[in-house]
Amino acid sequence: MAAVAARGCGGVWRRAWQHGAGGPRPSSRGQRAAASSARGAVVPVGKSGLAPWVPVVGLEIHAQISSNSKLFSGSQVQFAAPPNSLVSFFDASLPGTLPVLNRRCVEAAVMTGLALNCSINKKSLFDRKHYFYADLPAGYQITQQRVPIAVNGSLSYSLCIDNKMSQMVTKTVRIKQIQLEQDSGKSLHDDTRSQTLVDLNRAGVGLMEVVMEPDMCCGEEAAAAVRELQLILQTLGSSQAVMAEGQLRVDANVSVHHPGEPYGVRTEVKNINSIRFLAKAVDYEIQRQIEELENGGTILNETRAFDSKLGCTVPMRDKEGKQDYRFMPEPNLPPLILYDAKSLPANMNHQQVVNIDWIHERLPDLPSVTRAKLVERYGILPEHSFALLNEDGLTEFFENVVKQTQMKPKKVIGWILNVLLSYLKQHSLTVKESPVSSVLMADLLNLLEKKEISSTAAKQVLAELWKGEGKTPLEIVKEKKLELIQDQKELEQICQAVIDGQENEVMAIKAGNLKVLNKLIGLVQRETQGRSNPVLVKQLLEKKLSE
Amino acid sequence: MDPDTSLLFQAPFSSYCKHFCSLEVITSICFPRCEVHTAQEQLCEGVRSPSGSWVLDHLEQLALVDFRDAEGVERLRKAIQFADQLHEVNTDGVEPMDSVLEDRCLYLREDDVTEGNCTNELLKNAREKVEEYFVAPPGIVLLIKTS
Repeated sequence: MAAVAARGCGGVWRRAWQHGAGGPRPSSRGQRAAASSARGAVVPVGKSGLAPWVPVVGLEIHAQISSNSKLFSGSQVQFAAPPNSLVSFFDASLPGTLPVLNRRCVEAAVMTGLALNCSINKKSLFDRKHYFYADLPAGYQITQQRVPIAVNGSLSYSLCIDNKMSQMVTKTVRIKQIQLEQDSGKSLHDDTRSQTLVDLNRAGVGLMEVVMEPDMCCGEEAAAAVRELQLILQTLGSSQAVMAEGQLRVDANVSVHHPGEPYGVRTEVKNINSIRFLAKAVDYEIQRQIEELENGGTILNETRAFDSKLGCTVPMRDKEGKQDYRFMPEPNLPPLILYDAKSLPANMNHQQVVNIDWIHERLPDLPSVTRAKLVERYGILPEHSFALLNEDGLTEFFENVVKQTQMKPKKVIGWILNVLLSYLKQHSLTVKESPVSSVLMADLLNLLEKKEISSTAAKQVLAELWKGEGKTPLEIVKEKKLELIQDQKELEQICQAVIDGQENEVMAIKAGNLKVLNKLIGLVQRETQGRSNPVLVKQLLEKKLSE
Repeated sequence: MDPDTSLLFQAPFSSYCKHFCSLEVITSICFPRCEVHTAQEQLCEGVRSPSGSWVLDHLEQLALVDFRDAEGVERLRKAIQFADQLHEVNTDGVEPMDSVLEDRCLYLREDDVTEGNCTNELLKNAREKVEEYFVAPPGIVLLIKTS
């Protein structure tokens, strides 16, 4: 069993199962504690010792291309605007209009394909996908079903085992293809008057659909992969990929099967609005399917919606049988031809040429490269670099502080990740909104490094700085009298006073119980209101006690 | 094209179609990848027996078309039969031509905002509107998408 459990997610799946991720509580018969029970339950075993389950998760991700105008028309792309104000005649599907491809969208798709190690198809085709819906005025969507713009790539992402961030494991998911397609409009359902209101502002905006192979096996892997993709897209600038604004939409395909058997029936989960919900939805669906199958039921090949309030998936209204999209070639668009340095025609208008090699040369550093550079340059741990890149603007903040302080980067990182970041999270602020700038932070850390204040005092100063009253760290230190006592004689007096007042403890130390010394140090600290250097105090106490 | 059969693809036939239906859609219904002959046979049966009528129902739902009566179904069957003539041509080893524009370059447009801002014009033709939103006609078979 252990060997089987090691495949697939391995340890990660064990933990996801154990926490239950908001799904139906697995019954105790569905779990079996491993010998190494410190890690929690092992891969779930069915009742009466049935074979374990292997979950399979594939993702379809739609990323809205960051461009000024839409994919096939010159209407503006903007998130919030008066209804139907960003709509051209083509977007409204008025007869006689034709699609004209936006060059920027092609470049964005090529950039993304290159960043995901895909082969770029130098000739790709456009197709029509037919279905009826109020927000699709043409009755079809222009997409790339036969020959998409990029195929066969891969995405590497990292997961931390044990939630401690002390161990990171790298995984890869294969990218089946990336295709260009149109977005649909938005429909608002007015149930009271049983009508649907349609806003076509979003209709025709360029999308990149990234299809991932079903290489993942739990919610955490899916979430990590999507997070990494999000960072890559934001670094490239091909999409702003903000899930809350609908610029990144994820649908998950989930199924379970026994090892060695063919894949089970899959369900599609939609309406996932954040990365956290993605993990929850996938984990819930896996558990639901396992429970259903173990109770003798079957899984329908259906589409389910994730209800974030209840933390579960519910069936969407049944689509009878499989959808028939009646794909046909888009007759108004000839094949899209891309060039590289070798195949570049000599006398063609530059504006009409998309050169893959030219784009490749100008790709920025991907997140994985940036992380490696941070680790090498500053000597921080890989998990630190992950945390830095995970928060928008934090890397820049960190590098600015390091530039302006004598404190070693390895120490600075602790202050940034443990102290500053937790303040930001507590107050729900972004790095850009931080009341403490990198300059102030550097000043504070310099005071600490020069041993003018203690670490505890530094934290107090930071709390004061957070109020954003415009004082410098030095001013706060002087105001609150937080400087470390530099006068040796004064310190010695205090130490002596403490020793005199703690006869029992002194006897214990002299008898050999050295741990009690910490209590004395603590008492000195209290006497000096945190203004004594603990290392120095320890030395002084030890000297006195040995006399 | 024989004048008789050409009429199939003009007004009389199209009149059976509600909005959103085009010739291309009908012929692509008729060629769902590999079911042509079965579909035609089933259609012939479908007129007479209830068991074959699922194909008709399916087609009606897909294309929002109403074949209405036996005459309508007969026209459909003739249309399929007409299109079936394509099978008489041997296309082994021949690359399909998907566009008469195959020699043309696909024109690439600069990413500039040049259109939009014509809300009033767009809404002029709408039968119903609510505060600058189009109102979707009731009764369309809605395929739920939440996004």
